[in-house]
Amino acid sequence: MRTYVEVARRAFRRFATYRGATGAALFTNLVWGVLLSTVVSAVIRNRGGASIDGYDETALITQVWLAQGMLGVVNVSNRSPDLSERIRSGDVVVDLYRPVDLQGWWAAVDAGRAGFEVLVRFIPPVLVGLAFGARLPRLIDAPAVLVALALAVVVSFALRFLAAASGFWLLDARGVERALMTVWLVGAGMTLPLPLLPNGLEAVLRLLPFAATVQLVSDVWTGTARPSLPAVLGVQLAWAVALVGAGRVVQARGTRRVVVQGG
Amino acid sequence: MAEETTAVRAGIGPARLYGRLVGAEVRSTAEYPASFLIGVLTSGALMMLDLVAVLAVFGNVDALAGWTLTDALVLYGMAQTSFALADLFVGHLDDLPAWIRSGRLDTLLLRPRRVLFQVLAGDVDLRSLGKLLQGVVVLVVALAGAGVEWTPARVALLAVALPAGAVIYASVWVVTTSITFWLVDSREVSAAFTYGGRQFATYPLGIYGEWVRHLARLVVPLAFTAYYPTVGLLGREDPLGAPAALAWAGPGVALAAVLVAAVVWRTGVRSYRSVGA
Repeated sequence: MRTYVEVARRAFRRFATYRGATGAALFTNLVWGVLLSTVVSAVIRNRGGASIDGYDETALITQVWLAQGMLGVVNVSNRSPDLSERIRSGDVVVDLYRPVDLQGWWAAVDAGRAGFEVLVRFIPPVLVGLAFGARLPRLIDAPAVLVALALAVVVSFALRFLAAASGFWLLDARGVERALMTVWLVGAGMTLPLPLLPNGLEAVLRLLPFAATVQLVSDVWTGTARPSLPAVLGVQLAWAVALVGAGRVVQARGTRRVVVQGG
Repeated sequence: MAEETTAVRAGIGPARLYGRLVGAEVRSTAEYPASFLIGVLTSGALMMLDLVAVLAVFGNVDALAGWTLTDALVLYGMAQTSFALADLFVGHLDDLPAWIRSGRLDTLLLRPRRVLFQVLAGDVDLRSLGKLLQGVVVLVVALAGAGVEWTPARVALLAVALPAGAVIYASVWVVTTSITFWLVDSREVSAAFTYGGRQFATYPLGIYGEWVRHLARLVVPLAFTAYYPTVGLLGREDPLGAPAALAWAGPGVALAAVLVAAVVWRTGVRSYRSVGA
């Protein structure tokens, strides 16, 4: 366990050195936050203030800014795709020599990365969003929000791990990773909050794991979780367990292939 | 001087040289037709997501800032087409930070052509044609759906507005990419203005606050890429009360944008110091 904690700590420090890139990414998040929250406000204004499927303006604006903050934390755009590059180059063999679990190692790296992103790319958009009508969670919801955030990071890691592991078979996982990013942006509610989409599409997207990384977190944050708070957290937990489990199966099969290839 | 003599000796003007370099790109792309086709289709399909977003937004309202869905689709088509044109010609500026990091830019500085010319003529990504195709299709369908009464003036407006809009986007691209001469990687900042600019221009100007509207008219002139020409094409009163003549302001604004972009780019190249050892 100490190994993983140390790996996470070093990953945190490593990502903390990319200051210019992080600042630029944060700037982009803020610009998109302004653009999207303007659209959302305009929609509500032109509805005469009527809420959408039970989501009022505050809830939707909060979701938009939360989504911009989460973009970096759940790493949708897959900045520094180390594992898939190591699989492509064959360096992953070195990882397999180590007396630690492959998935566990990269999960620790991702935890360190996410921790850094929370500080620099999550908190600022959320605070700026307050000026545009977003809100903070109620104090009583705070513990649930922390759990939801953590589960969102786990689900996101599991998704990216699976995409990278497809490289054990495809050798080049970049196509899969790009496709994942596209579906993810829509399915998580980052392009638009899911309640704005047609109800049928929204219902389908809510059944997929992507919603667990942003939309469900936002539902917990704004107190719009339905049917209930435990149910939403349960869905997130179920996806986390299922996808991490799938990652373990894929890893067991995939690494066996590496051994065969390496001779 | 050196520039002129070499060009004369080689007997090739910039236009012909550009044609040759793009021609080479076309031929190399044609070597892998399947890969090219997939690239075109994916880039077009990705743009469809934006369209779905616009449709979804209008699924919740009858009109946005006085614009109905049919009118807003023309706006989307104009924004998307002029953006895609710019993307085709200058989108590969996004690679500049990588060129600087790898030291490849130094090679360009040694050659007897302008750096910007070499970057732009170098790696045209023909898959961007997919975005252009998507924009044109949406624009044609939207124009038909909006029931535009075509007069010679409106045809001329359309013919002028699209390239002018593209030049404005291209200038924004050049200016924001120039940041990379001072900071390490400009891609994210640049994307906020180029891709973000297209997202901005997709919606009616009236939804934005007063100061954002002024920014879009005077500082980053995105209001002239789609909004004002579309108001002119549809032949309606601007809900914000702008004079009808603004529809024709595109070329003038584009010219001013190019001048600014040229100055910023040159300043950037002058202050460039190689990262190389």
